[in-house]
Amino acid sequence: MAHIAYREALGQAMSEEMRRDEKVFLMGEEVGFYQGAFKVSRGMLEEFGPMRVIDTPITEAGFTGVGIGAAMVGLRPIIEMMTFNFSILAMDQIINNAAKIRSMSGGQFTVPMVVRGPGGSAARLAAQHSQSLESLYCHIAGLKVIAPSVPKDAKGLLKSAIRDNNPVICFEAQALYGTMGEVPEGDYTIPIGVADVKREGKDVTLIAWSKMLLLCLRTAEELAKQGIDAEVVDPRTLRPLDLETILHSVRKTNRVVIVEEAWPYAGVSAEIADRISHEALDVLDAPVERVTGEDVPIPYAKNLEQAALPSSEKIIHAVKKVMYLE
Amino acid sequence: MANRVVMPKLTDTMEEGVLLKWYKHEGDKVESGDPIAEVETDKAVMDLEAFASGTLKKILVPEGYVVPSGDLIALIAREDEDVDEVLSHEAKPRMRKKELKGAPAEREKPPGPQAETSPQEEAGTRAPTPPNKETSAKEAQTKEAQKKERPAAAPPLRSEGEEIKASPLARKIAQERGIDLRSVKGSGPGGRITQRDVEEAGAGEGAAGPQAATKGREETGAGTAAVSQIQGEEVELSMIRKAIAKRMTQSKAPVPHFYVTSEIDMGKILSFRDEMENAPNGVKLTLSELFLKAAALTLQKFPGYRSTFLGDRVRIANSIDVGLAIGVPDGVITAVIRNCDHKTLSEISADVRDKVKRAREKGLKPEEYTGAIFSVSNLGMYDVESFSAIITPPESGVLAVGSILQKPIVTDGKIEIGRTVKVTLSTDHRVADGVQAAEFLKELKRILQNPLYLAL
Repeated sequence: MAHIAYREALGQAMSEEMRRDEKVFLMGEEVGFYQGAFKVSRGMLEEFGPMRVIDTPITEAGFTGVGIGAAMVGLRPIIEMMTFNFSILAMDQIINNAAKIRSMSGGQFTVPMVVRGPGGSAARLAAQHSQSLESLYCHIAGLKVIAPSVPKDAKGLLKSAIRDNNPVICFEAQALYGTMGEVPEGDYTIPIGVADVKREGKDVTLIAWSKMLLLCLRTAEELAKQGIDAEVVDPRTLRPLDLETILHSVRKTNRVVIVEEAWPYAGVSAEIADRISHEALDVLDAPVERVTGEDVPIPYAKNLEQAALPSSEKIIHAVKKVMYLE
Repeated sequence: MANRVVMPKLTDTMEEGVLLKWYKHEGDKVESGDPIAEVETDKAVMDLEAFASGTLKKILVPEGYVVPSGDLIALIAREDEDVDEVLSHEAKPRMRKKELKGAPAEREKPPGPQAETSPQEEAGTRAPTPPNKETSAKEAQTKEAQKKERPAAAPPLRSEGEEIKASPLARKIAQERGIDLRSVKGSGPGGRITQRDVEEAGAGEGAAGPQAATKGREETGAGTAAVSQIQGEEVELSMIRKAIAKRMTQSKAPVPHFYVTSEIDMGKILSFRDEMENAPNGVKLTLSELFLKAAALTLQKFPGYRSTFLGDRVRIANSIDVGLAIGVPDGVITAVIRNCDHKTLSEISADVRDKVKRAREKGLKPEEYTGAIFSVSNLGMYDVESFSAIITPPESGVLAVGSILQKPIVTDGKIEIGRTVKVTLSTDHRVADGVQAAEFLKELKRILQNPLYLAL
């Protein structure tokens, strides 16, 4: 297996799909000549040419709308948002058109489109460029939302997203692009809607995705030193959600902490907590705990930014709370 | 007009009934007053009579299912009447299958239509396998710390009607093990009772004494481990047995004991023992060893005394593993003699001697002092006439043996000096009653007064 970076795994997924299916193309700001603001599309302009790797002006609503139109007439666009913070400008296209056209046309049109790009906090990008907007998209009926945490999942899930006949939103945490991992050789896909247990444990279930998954794995090692054996579940796709895998773990551990980088109010973790309390109430020994970002715009100052985000300390505190150890 | 047939509520205490048999089939004509089904309540098996005449149009509950009182079980209507409309307005019966087959996990989703049940009902009626968690080192330390802080005596019962704060998991485990939550002290926020609290409460009342019990918990992972060590067939409790279990637990939580004493003439068995000792290749036997074998043979005939209470079921052990309480310098520990009924007296004697020696040196392994189904406790050597022992959960009984005393015995109208012993059987009232206890002692007495049985 090749040991490659997350950004490279995404690039491979796109290139392989473009070789496999000539209807697939990539469009976005600086995806071509500059090879992607985060170098995800490195080498693609050279291989596929400017008709299939298209540099756009700074017009999110425009090029997203063009993508939807292209999808409606049979192409399979990949729309790259330079960061998901800019996707807010294309919200009308995504929510009102991409998500609904299949339903409103009675199935006459489908929108086989992927909207992908980086999200979440990185290192001091300040309030407007540090947001985790998964819950905005998860809320919309008609969209699928994926959030891979490791290179292997990133490649396999993005391929599934490109082959999906419905609009899929793919969140790539900006801070994950440089992380490395094993990626299988050859063509493979990871189905949308299947979670993965990234670490087996018996005392408490930690649920997290994307960058927070890595934080949970590190924290689980810390907890192990304190004699607490945490299981770490990666939903990988946030909508549809693989509740069965989550419940299986909850029935084993009886305690749950969900970690989400975004704000607490109406977050994805709130949805998961609700589903667990409905489906597994009688095996819970404590209320489901959520560790989220603080309820403030992410500050610029380094110390304040750190304070606003989930941390190992916050997760350990929540774990001890559900285990009644403090 | 369609007439509803519901599971009756025949007594104040009846909460559910078992549909044992339908006398009529769908489409059969019924007259008001006809028995149409056989129903088992918490007190008896009885016929359910039709309150209306017509055709039995629809049977909603198959035979062998348990249904709460008041739930619709059938409809009687005119032969040509369409009852689908009526049924569409009715709640489905909250039924579950009575028989247990296979592992408890398989019972989580019983076949047939189901309506929603509350978590309490869910927990009380179809208990899945209790979580069997190993205690982490840290947890064990914390538990130990909490135990030290906690007063030794059991906390007082909460008063009737007082709100009990408990996690759903704690409630479920309490229901499975028949532990009254009012007797459990909660260590969570606001006094919430947690899994750990219930497990400690369940393991708390042990004959092996506080030290041994604590040790056992740490090394075996609480009461669940003790129950899961005993392999055997599980049989669902009858309605009356459930009612007794619930009532007795409320009166003395968590194990409702009762005690029955009997006096046994020991003349023959003492001569038997002397003969055994003096025979060529003879073996020296202690009274404890004789009682172990006699109790094991008695247990063969009394499944109630090799049962573990599991809330809505009992597990009847396959092998008769009998414990012997052994006094050690700082407490008591129960050494387990496996397959005691199949061992010869000399095998039992060798096993006991080995385990007593190692128990005093604290050399017993956890599996050698856990997993008994019944225990014998002998204080005969300390000059006590009789005493009552406390049951070690999950066992269901313990036999307390007093001293052999010289007593006048009347034989053929003449008074002779005989030797007798008083034994007291403590019983978990959730699984057995006074009559069984008396019969148990009678059988034990028969064996001890005819010692040849022991040599068979």
